[in-house]
Amino acid sequence: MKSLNVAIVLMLCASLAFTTWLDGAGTQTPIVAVQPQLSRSPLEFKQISLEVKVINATYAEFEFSASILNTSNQTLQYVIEFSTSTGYAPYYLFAPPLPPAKPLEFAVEINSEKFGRLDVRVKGSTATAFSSLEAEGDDRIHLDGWMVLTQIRYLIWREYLENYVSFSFRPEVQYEGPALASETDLQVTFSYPIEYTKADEANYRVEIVDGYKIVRYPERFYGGYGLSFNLYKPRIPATSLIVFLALWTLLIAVVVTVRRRHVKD
Amino acid sequence: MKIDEVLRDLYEFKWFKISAAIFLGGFFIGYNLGFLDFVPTPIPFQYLVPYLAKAMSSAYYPGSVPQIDKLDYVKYTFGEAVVVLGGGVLIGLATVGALFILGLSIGASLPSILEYAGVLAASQSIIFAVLFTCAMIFLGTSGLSLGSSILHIAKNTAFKIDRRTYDAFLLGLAFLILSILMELS
Repeated sequence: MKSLNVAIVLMLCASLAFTTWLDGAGTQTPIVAVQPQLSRSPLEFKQISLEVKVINATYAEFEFSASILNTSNQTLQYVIEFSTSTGYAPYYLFAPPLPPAKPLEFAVEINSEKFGRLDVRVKGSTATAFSSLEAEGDDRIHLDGWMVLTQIRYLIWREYLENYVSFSFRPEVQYEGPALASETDLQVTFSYPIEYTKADEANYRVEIVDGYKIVRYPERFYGGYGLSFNLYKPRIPATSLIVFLALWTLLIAVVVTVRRRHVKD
Repeated sequence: MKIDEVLRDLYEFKWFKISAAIFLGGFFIGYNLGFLDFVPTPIPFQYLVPYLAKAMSSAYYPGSVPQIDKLDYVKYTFGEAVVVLGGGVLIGLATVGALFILGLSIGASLPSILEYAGVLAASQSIIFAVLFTCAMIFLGTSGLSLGSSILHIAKNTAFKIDRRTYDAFLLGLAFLILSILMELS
């Protein structure tokens, strides 16, 4: 009994010593996380507006304008970029070779109040123009264009229009990821044919003018902005409806006939 | 024996009725699901009938380019016929599953073909669907009858196969060849 008590006391001492040793080993010098200095974009924007009008299922027009201010103390070269949907990626049942990409149809004209019409280069689904702002200088950019809508998806009861357009302004050099959010709001006006429904239409006040629905809403501008169309309209499936009705008529006829036989028996 | 007598005999054959009921039941469910937009994306079932899936996927995805050659159509159609017929050795269980899924596949593919494929493609698809349906029902009849005979052996009774099993097989084979020729045309 005495030896048992001694053993318990020894075990308790050992466990306390072990815990203390573990605590000491686990102590680490704290690592001070240094918040990286976020570089503020030298471009600032104000009075930004975007108007997109979907004329029909295949054609849309857009107009974008923004006042740009160079907050740095040196002349700044910057890029204005517009890009649009590339259409659905080809979908294959089995692994195939890629077919040649279908060229996108769109046109963009970019005008600067200081330099006039800018030279626009188009590559794939992107149109790019270059301009510059003197130290603490400003300019106003107008971007007008149209595009053929390519992303149309069909279901039996719905037809979807799923295109998008995006606009971006960024310094030509020293571009460090997305620009910081501008405090200025972007005013978006989006109009589309009355027969279509915008997926998030319920969130907005919808005006109807000349057969078009118009929604207006403010958005934050991050040196760029992307607008998804995401419209749909109902459709009546005429051909498959006939077969559907025929199948159900047949089913009902079979059920009625079989039931009559049962009654006779 | 005349063909009309063979058909009349087969019509009275219970396995023909069961085979037709399973396939057409699957077709009915598939068509309804397809028509009500419950299969907005090409589900694997439709790949089982690539001849129809070709027309169907191009309807849902306008940019789609199904890269299947005619040999694929033949391979799939023949492979499915083998499963439906040979499934009989598993006392018809595999035949039942294959018949239902093939019916479902054809039914689910048809609404979009009728809606979006052109007149020619839709007509070809319908003719193929009819021939393929006949082939599968007859081969299914044969497979189920074979399954029933195997079950008889399991019950220690004599192994015998109904004459109509052979008739169903031969008719199914004829329709299978016609549907393959349709795919190759």
